[in-house]
Amino acid sequence: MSEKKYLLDSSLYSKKAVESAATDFSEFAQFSIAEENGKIEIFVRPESGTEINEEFWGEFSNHVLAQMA
Amino acid sequence: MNTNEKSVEIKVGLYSLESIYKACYHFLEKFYVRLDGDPKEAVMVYFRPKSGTPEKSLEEALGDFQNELIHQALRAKVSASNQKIREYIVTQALAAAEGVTPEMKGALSGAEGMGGGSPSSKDGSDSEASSPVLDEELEKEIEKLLAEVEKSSEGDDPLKISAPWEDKNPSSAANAAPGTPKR
Repeated sequence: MSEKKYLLDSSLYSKKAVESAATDFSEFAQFSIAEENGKIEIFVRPESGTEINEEFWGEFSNHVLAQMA
Repeated sequence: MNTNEKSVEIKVGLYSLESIYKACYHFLEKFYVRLDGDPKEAVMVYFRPKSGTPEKSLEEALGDFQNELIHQALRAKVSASNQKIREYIVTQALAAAEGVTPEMKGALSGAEGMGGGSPSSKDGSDSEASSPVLDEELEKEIEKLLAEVEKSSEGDDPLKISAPWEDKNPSSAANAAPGTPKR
């Protein structure tokens, strides 16, 4: 299954929160996280049975926000 | 921006990032929320309804979000202003549970006043330099209130939780091994 890349602004989202969310979502996808040029790059490779779509990304980024609240 | 997405601009000078995060939290169940913009100037908060959330509620959500923002900003302000008194009350409660004597409490308060204990306030004020932890009068008032609470709850123990085990079970206590300490 193909890998998708997402970006979050590192001045608004913390890398720690992203890593924590990735751990919680680890049963659905594999994540690779890097920080570069003011952006957090998130590479997502879905596990079988998971579709990486807008809904998935929306839930994931919501989860990151929840970690920061 | 998606067609069914609406946004609101928040000036960071008016609301802290912390307040923005906390306000966003309340909407995560029904909306996808994302942040963009410059955290030093203004932050854009985008809301997109999840499936099952009616789109017409989006406009209402923006209004509710702005209200929640004020709520969170006020909570942060109140929390900062009563931080010292909360820490004092917790310290007193823990000290009472540990059986710390009043003389030791005074020593603890003095140590905190010299900066050895609780964190300093965020606005950098040097109020800790002028009074130890709390105003003396306020400290006495709190002790008086705590004493009143303890007095009012005396005798209010229908399940006999505070009664020692030996009082509740005198026959078992009589059969206890010699040297068993009594409370």
